[in-house]
Amino acid sequence: MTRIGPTDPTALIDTLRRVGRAVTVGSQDTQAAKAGEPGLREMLANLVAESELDSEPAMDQLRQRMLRVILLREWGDSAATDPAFPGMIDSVDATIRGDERLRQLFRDAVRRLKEPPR
Amino acid sequence: MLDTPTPTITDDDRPALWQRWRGERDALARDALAMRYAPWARRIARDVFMRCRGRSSDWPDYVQNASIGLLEALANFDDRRGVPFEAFARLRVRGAVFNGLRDLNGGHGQRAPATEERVDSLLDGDSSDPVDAFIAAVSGLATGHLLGSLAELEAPQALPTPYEEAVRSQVAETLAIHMERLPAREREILTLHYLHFLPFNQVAHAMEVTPSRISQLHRQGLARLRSFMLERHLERDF
Repeated sequence: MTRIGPTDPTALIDTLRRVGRAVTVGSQDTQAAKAGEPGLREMLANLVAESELDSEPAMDQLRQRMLRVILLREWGDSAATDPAFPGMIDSVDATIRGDERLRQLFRDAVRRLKEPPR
Repeated sequence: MLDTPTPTITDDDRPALWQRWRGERDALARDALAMRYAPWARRIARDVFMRCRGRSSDWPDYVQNASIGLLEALANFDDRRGVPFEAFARLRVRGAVFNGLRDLNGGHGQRAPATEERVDSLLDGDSSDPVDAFIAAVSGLATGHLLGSLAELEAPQALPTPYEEAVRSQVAETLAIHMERLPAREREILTLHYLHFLPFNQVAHAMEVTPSRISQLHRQGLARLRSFMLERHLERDF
């Protein structure tokens, strides 16, 4: 349990942020479950399961598909027809390709998504 | 053209802000003044840009240098001399833009690698789950890209054609509206960084906090924008 001191607003903000994030992600999946749709994590796991991951181009393709799924899930399906959407996907993908830490995070995420649900 | 999501200058609150900044050295009042005068400094950058027939690709440097000039003027202004702030600051802002232009033409005007500090900030989160961390990073990078596109729309040589007006990004416009809902400090940091092209260390200097605090507030601001966007999307669909 995180203890929050009375004079430590930073800790309070961080704790609220963590709670907020948990609520946000949780509510997103709860809403999806109510509607009978898979949650974002499940969608990503399905993408990983159906992808061949034996080559660099295959991983590149998977990453781009994952970016699309994540951003449409967060911003709504109508974002797919937004003029900014393709450029945004390209920009995020280029940033990930250009940063080893983000590439590693992507590989770690894929590895985790391949594990059976706990 | 999209308006910069900063408060408009009103004569109502500026005297009170000046009083708080001068009398009490209230940093929040100084930051609020910077936000109120930022569109004015941007107009000076635009004047110099048009006069010098600058390249579109250099527009961020013009805005960045005007913003630096503005922040320096705010720090040094003393109204007891009886000179209005705009008159005092105009020469400094223009001077900062011209100085930057000289550096740019001399090949010394390389901007700090903004992408790297954004990634540093986003990866500094507390999630131990790589899937959650990846999703948050992707969302933060995409939001940053859209904020940057708002600034690009304001470049003088990138005035939108009627076609571009028609196909303007609804997502970016929604984001601009949500910027107004952010807490003041987060909004100011995102505005100075993405719309005025200031690197984190200069934002930190202007706000008199550490760069790591700026990085933390940057991550927090993007996360909050993310939750606003998600909330809107869920409200619409359910």
